[in-house]
Amino acid sequence: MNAAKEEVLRLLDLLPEDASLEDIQYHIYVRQKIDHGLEDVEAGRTLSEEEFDQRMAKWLEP
Amino acid sequence: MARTVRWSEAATRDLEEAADFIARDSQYYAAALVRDARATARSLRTLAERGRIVPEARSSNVREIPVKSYRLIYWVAPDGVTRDEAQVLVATEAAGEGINLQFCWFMVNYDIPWNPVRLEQRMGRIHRYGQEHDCLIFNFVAVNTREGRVVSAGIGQLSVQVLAAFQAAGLRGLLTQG
Repeated sequence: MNAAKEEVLRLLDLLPEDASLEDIQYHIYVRQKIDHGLEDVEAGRTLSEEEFDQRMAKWLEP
Repeated sequence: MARTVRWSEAATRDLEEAADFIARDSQYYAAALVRDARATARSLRTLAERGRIVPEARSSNVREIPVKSYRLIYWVAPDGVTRDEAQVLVATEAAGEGINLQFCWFMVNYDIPWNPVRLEQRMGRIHRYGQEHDCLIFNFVAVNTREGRVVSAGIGQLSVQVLAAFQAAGLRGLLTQG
């Protein structure tokens, strides 16, 4: 079985018996988000806290 | 140990999108979300290990802390085998029960409760679900004192009742006396 299918099976094991399709979709989505974040870290696509503040300036102004 | 916090591009973009979306209804709540996320991320400079391990992730280095109705998910860069600094929590009996400290694995009891069940409770703060290290637990006792004798008896009792169970659960801790 390929890695993606195994991953989904592992996620399914974590979910309660009464999980809905929507729940399953959500957890796969979270899983993908985490992977994207980790890829960013590995590739050095990260911001320092100062850079974050600059980018979010419009929300952080008093 | 103070850590450096860095935002991934993906997380920053998601937060921006979430804030822009909320701002359609309320600038105020959009700004509150960004500020909350910023403050939570900032707090991860210390004790980053306190977040919950993310069940969807494959690594226990991926953790999360709730920010409003969102999940702030972060990756804790693993330490080397040795390090120059350590964080130490000094606590009274108040930390002896009810709090989860499984990101710690070294415990020194400098006052020994006379009731072995309380001692067991303390050990259970660090030796619990989510612990990844072998736990080391040291008990300071003054020998040739009444306390020393009480504790010997207590630890004797404890070792019979509890240590067997702990060992079964994988605790390879030290229980020292003297």
